Amino acid sequence: MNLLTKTGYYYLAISFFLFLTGGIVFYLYISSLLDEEINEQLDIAKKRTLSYVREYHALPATSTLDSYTLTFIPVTYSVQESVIDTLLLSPLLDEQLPYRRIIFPVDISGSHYAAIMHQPLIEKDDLLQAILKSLAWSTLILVVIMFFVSRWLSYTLWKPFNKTLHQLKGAGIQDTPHFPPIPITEFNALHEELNRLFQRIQTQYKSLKEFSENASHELQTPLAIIRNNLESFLQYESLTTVERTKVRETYESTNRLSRILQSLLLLSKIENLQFVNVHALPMRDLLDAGMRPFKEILAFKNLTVELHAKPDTMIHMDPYLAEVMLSNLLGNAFRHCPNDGTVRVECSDHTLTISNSGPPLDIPAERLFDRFAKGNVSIESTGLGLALVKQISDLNNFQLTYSYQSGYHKFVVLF
Amino acid sequence: MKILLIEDEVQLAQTIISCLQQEGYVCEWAKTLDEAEEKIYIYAYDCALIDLTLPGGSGLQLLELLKQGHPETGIIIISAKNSLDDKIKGLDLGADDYMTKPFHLAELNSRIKSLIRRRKFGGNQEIVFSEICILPDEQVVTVHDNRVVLTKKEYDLLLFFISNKNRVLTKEAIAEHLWGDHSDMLDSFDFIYSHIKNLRKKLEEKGAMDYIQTVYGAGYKFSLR
Repeated sequence: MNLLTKTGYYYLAISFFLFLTGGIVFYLYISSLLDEEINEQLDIAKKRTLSYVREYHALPATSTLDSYTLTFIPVTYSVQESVIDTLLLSPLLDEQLPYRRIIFPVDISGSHYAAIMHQPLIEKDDLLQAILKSLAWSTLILVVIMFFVSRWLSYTLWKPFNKTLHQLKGAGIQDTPHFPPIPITEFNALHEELNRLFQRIQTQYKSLKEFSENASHELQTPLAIIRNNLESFLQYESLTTVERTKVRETYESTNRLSRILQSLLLLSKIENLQFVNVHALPMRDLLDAGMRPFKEILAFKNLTVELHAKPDTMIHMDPYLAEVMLSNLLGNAFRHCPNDGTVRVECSDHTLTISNSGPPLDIPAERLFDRFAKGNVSIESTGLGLALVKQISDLNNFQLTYSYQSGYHKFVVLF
Repeated sequence: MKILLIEDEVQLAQTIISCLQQEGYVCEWAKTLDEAEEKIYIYAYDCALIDLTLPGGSGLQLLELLKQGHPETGIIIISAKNSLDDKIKGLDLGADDYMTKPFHLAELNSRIKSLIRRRKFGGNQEIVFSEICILPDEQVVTVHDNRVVLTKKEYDLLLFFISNKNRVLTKEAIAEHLWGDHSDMLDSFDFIYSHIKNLRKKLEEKGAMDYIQTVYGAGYKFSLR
């Protein structure tokens, strides 16, 4: 629900309540006012009658055309003064109408009279109806006005907010937006906080990036020293076979360490979103380029490669990551395919399938994309290649699946 | 041939220097940015190896200095930063090559040789190792003036061997030289062996001696017996 609709509902509920209580109070107040007014009228008429009688010692002329009617009835005793409300049949309208009747004693030189006076009352139903009608009209008018006012408000007042929202939607690590100051206090506070937040994100991102680069530098340099020294060591002709083998083993481990380090750094760089130059890349060219370095090993292992790539299929991702992903997927297939085996590479719109023949996995399939999950242990493998592929697919919202069907390991990337 | 090494890690520098001296280069060493600037002002070098992270600033600053003062000097950046940005920046500023630490000494040696060949002789210099002759410009190999038909990789392998003659080359160094970053995808060392076997066979067919020796437990060595 829109914020303005919501506040609109609240306003409506409150104004409904206010109008209702207001109406009741209004009704009670008006009716008591009318009541008093009628009593006053009757009192004045009574006083006028009595003063007439006192002055002229005769009854005044009675009239039925006045708003009130005055009649005198001769009585034998002096009556008590009384005021009551009663219904009288109106001969003109042929219905019973409410009247207030006052009876008071009039004495003229020993004769007693009862003066009876009627004053018509306003019908309470009519009053109530009138009040309700006027209230209903004002509520209706209020709703209509509020509707247009809220439309107008949402357009003008919330305009800067919507602009901010739009800016936020396009924001990323690479292009952090700047929110300018605006005269509205709340929005300005929001802008200031957002600017601070983005600045903090930027700083953290930078320090993380620096850390991985420093880690790379600080670790690769000692590794370079170890490796170069071992390489120089291997040059000595005086080494015994045992010594040379030991040096060689150490050298191999150093190589592996260096490669693992590089892959881990690449993984963390991908996690830090340092590769976000998304381009549309022709899949066929990528596959051709990815295949090229393996040309000799294909011939050596006598592998059959069936490549079916639909021309014009494009993939949207960072070019460097595309290269890493395909190189790892293809390398994985070629490496694990036994001699004289078959590797199939198929690419159509949004689907890349790379499968190779080979014996079933010796690790659970769901662990395949984990870091350091290695099958038939080979010293050369870092155990990070498929984890890299997984990370790259996740980054680009690709779907990566593995299955083993009729002697083929099959990797499918939905892009 | 004079080479200037600008590197702040003492041990790494010493290994590189001793390797280059074995190859017959005169090697000078600068540890800091200031030392390097001083040497660049005073002397001329055939090749400069520049580390990017130096005490006193980035090695990239030296590139401009070299380009202005000695445009004939070949420049190889050696950096621990495997960052694409740095690589592009370095090459844009006029470096001829970029190597990421850790690198194989044999690889460094082969790149220096190829750089000096390109710079000094425009790639036209013949490389001769007894009866084997290589014309780098045309990528042609002859034995006793008979042309040997090699694949691209076999040619690269031979050139790598001759550039590093009398050095033991590990299979890793060979694989990395031939296949670069993809070398860790080809864990089959039999594969390297088969390449070497093919090269050996093709050279012997044309009457060359077998100069490729297997050093047990270490790798291969190209040398006169």
